[in-house]
Order: sequence, then C-alpha cells, then structure tokens
Amino acid sequence: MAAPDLEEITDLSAAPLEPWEVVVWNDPVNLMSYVVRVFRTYFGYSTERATALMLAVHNDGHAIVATGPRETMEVHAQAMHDYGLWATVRKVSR
Amino acid sequence: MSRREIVLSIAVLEGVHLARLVDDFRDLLADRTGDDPAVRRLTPNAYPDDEGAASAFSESTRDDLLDRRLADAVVVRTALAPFDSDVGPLSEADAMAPRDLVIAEDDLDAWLRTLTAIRLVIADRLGITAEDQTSDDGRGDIYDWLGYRLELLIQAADEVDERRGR
Repeated sequence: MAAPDLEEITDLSAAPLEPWEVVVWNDPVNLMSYVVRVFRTYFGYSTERATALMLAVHNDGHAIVATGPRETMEVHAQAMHDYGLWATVRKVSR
Repeated sequence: MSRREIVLSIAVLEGVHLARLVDDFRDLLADRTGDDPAVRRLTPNAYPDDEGAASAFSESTRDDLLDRRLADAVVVRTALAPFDSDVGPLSEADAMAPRDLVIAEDDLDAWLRTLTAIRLVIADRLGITAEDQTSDDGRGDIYDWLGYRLELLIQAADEVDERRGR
C-alpha cells in the first residue's frame, strides 16, 4: 500500500488566522475497526494514520482528527456525527 | 455504477429481528418532536463549552442529519424485504433456516452507519457506559449480535475498498 504524502502545508500566508480543530471522543460502543474505517475513508488517511488516531481516541479518551478553518471543521464534525462518532469543534489552544 | 453485491447467509430469525429493529429505528428518527436521549446521542453537541454555537450548529444540521439517517435506514430495510413474508410464529426449523441477504457493495456504508446507530440507541437504552459491559437484559444479546454482524460487514467493506484500490 502506498503511503500518502503527509507533509504539512507550511505556507503561512495560506494558514487560517484562527485555526479550529475537530476532536473525536471515546465511547464504549463504536468498534475499533469501524473508527479506523471512518478515519480512512472520510479523511483519506492511510490505514496506519487512521489506526494511530483510533488508538489515541481509545487510550487517551480523545484525539484531534483535523485542523483548519471553522466552517470546514463543522462540515467534518457533521460527517463524524453521520457515522455515529462523538465529535466536537473547538478553537486551537495556543 | 457498480452493482456488485455481497451475499450473507443468515438465519431467517436474524433477518426478521433485524427488519424489526430497523423499523423501530425509523420510527425513532421520524419523531422530531420528542427529546429522546438516544436521538441526542445520534446528534451530539458539537460545542459543549459554547451554548450559542451549540444551538446554532444543532439548528442548522440536526434535521438534515436525521434525514440522512432515515435514507440509510431505508436502504437497509429494502435489502431486508425477503424476510417480510415471515410474519407470525415460526417453527424452530423455519426460524433457523439459512437465507441469503444480498447487499450491494455501494450500500455497505449505509449498512455500517445504520447498524452502528442502532447499537448506539440500544446502548443508550441499556445504559452501557463501559466496553465489555454485560447486561442481563435480553437486549444485551441483540446488542452483542449486532456488534458481531457489524464487525463482519466492516471487514467485507474494507476488502471491497482494497479490491477497488481505495
């Protein structure tokens, strides 16, 4: 399986002034394989990255799954809710 | 459009139970007047620390989200139509007889979302707050069985993606 390019965009002029983030919280119901699949198919993350995020949710209680403009983060949160994941939106703490 | 399908062999009784669960789920989604805690779990608060943003988000997304859930549930219920003829009491042999359940590959994610959502509703009803929690309630068995079927469907969907190179 090919690894996706995980290089972050570092052009600061393109960065949002106030970045927001989507947080997915642990719950006792959703299956681990399902959470990995959602992260992989919705965000297009590699299986490795999706698995690492799932394990972070599972072990730490939550994980930041996306960062960017507020409107985009709200779209992502809605999508997570469609999949039955418990997602919230918040401003990135500096 | 690909109409490739996966075929599962399930007991007639499983199909009948699943169809009933999906019917109950559709009833739950259709009732937009109540404030059912299970529906709240399906439409979680996106801004727990900001009441204004939370209600704005909820107002602009909640109905659409529930409509999409209904559309998913209709897809699932349609595939379960072969079990509709089994009304009334079944003999044990009839109940345990295997029957094909045919799911279009393109419908797999609607199935995963729906089975997941029904498990969330049952978990809310049972008060499940921890993994590996057991319940004496008969619904606990249904919850575990749904989890088992869901796990198999997730594997099937992942295999379809792999074959399609996604």
